[in-house]
Formats: sequence, structure tokens, C-alpha cells
Amino acid sequence: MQPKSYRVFKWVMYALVTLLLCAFHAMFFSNIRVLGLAPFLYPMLPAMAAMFEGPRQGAVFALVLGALCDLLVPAPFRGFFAIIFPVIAALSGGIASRLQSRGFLCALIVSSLGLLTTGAFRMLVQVLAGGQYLGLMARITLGEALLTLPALLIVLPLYRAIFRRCGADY
Amino acid sequence: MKRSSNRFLIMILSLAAVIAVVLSVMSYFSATSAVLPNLAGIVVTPFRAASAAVSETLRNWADYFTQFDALKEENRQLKLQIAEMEEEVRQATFDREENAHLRKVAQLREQRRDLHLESARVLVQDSSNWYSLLTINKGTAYDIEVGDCVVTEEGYLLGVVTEAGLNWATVRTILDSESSIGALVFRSGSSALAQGDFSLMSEGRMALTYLGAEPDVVAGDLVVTSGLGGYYPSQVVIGYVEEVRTGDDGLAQYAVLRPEMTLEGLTEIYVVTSFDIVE
Repeated sequence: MQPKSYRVFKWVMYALVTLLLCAFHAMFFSNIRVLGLAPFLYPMLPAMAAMFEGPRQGAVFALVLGALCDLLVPAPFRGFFAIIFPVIAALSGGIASRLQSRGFLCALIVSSLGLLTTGAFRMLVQVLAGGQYLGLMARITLGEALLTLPALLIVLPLYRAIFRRCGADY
Repeated sequence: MKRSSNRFLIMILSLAAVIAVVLSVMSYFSATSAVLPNLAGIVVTPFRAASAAVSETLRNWADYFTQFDALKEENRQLKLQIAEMEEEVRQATFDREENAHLRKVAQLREQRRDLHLESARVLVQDSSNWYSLLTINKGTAYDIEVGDCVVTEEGYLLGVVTEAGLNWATVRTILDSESSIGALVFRSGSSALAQGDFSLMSEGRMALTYLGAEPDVVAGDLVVTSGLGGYYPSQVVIGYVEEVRTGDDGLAQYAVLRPEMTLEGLTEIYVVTSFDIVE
């Protein structure tokens, strides 16, 4: 295949895997409740893509994913995910390319970062809107992150398989 | 190279901000649902329906093996409950006839309660821990509008439609921290406000506020919708008072309300598209 075709194929594969994981989230994760909390997979996805593809391409992927999530997933305001996902991707890509080489540990760090950043931004919006219960919100953010991180065992191999199959050079 | 990379990231983040502003403005100025969310909803509704069907089948399959003893016990309890209720129905039939006769004598208008219900299936129960929302498989094509009241199969209040697309709608349940509905304590007739509370939401509870200076509310009281203002039908069961607490200010009291509706295993709901009640 030509380099351009390769690039298109790679991003189509990323998109399909992301859709698959979103369907998985809707079918199974939304039914899981541990101590009243449910996992929240979406912030992990732009972090994973950016870890493998770098901050630039990851940010574009995150922007598209964020805009789609804004249309379908409840948030404090429409546009919430379109703002926060590229930020997560930029940070994750930066960490993967400068601080920690791509691998399980890096995936764990960037996923945690993605989940905690989303939670923190949500808390900020709630507080600015006059919301109380800051402690409770922090507990939910932390619980949500801890509950979602085991999903890395499913998410990481899928994204890594695409990265290895299609290569990082395109 | 590094400078161009930074410039590219700044460009992406600026684009993200623009998208966020456009989406927010569109949804703010739209009465039902903005064009893009509506289109996205229309496209994903069949997939959501398929996913809900798979999810329901798996849950039913799991329940078949795990819930057998519990269902047997529940069946026994329900049989007892039916026997008690049959007795109450006999008494209620007599009371209704007497009431109709007395209203005729007193020349009062005949009581009427017409609720137009539209059944719908739950496609998605919002899985985040911050909201309590449902997405259903019917929308404006079935006369469902923003502000319509939603009840369960048993007739318990479930929530209110907050967004309506062509073939989908979003329902904010009464547990959500942004929900607020006029309520009435059935025993005392005191009016109050049934509000979702962020700290009670994860426990499946809500708050009953604005109880007045001397609240006449005790644990076990039935709370129904007040119907004041004509936005929602009256006398729809919300739930029971669990306990009465004093607020953080040490002055005002509020009650913790246990809603009768349950979100667990919820698949079928009814939207009250219009109502005409004469009491």
C-alpha cells in the first residue's frame, strides 16, 4: 500500500476500534455498578490514541471523538468533551514522546491522567455553576478512575495491535 | 519543528473551543434538540436499540440463574399482596359509587383523569456517575416534547423529557441533581418540592424541600405530584419519606425521599404526552 493509503487505513482501524469500545461501554460497562459507581471509558480512548500516534495526530483524533461524544454523551455543557479530549491527547502524547516510553506503565499513566483531568474539569464546571459537595465529587472522580483503569487490559492491546500493524511512520 | 508542533496544537485547541461554543449556542437556542445532536441521535438510535437488546438478553440470561429463589419469594409475597388489594378494591368500588352519588347531590363536576400515554423503550441508561439520564427510542415523531412527564409501567413518576429528537428523547430522572418537581404530602396535604440531590443520587434517594416553618412530614408518608401550575399531572406517586433531616444551616428541614421507581432493569416506560384532570 502507498503511505497515504496506509495512513487512511490506520485511522479507519482506530475509528473502528473506538466504535467497538464505545459499543462495549454501552452494552456492558453501563450496567456495572461498584459501590454505586460506574466506569467511564471515553477519556481513556483519546489518551491511548495520542500515546501511540503522538500529540498532533492524537489531538485531531481527540477533537473528532470529543465532538461526537458531545452529541451523544451527557456532559455539563455541549462542547465539554471537544475541549477536554484534545487537552488529554496533547498531554498524553507529550508524556509518551518525552517522559515515558510507550508500554503498559505509560498507558496506565496517560489513562489515569485522562480520567482525572476529565473529572477535575467536570468538578470545576460544577463548582463554577454553584455546585456543592466538592469532597463527594473528588471521591466520585477517583472512584470512577479506579473502576475504569482495569479496562486498560482490553483497550491497550487493541490500540497497540493497530499501531504495530500499521506502523508509527505514517 | 517544535514551534510548528506547538502552533498545530494551539490551532487544534482553538478549533475545539470554537466547536464547543457552536454546540453550546446551538443547543441553547433550540427548543427541542439542536440540528447536529438530533442528526447524531437519529443515526445512532438503531445501534443503541441493538445494543440495548443484546444487553437486555444477557441480563435476562444472568437473572435466570441468579434470581430464581428471590423471584419465588417475591411471587409468594405478591400473592399475599394481591389478596389484600382485592379486599381494598372491593371497598374502593363501594366508595367510588358513593362518591359519584354525593358529587351528583352536591352538583360537583364529575372527576376525570385522562392521561395520554406513549410507550417507549429505554435504549441507554447514562453510565456516568454525575447524572441520571435515560435515552428512549421515541421522539417528536410520536408527539413527545420537552417537558413531558415520564412514568414507569406501574405508574410511578420517573422523570421529565429534557431533549427530544425525531426518533429519540432524553429523560432526566427525578434522581438527577437538576430535577425539581412540585410535590404534595398525601397524608397532610402539605405542598413541597421534590428535588434531586447530588449527594443522595448515588443512594437512589432524593430530597423533599420547602417544607415550611412547621413541617407536617413523618417517615413513611406518601409523596405525590402536586400538579400545581399544570405542567405535570397531579397525584402521580413519587415515593415515600424515609427520614426528616435538618439542613446544613441548622434551621430548615428537609426529608429524604425514597422514589418508588427503580432504574434497575428498566426497559419500558410511558411518556405522558398530554393530560386532562378534573378533581
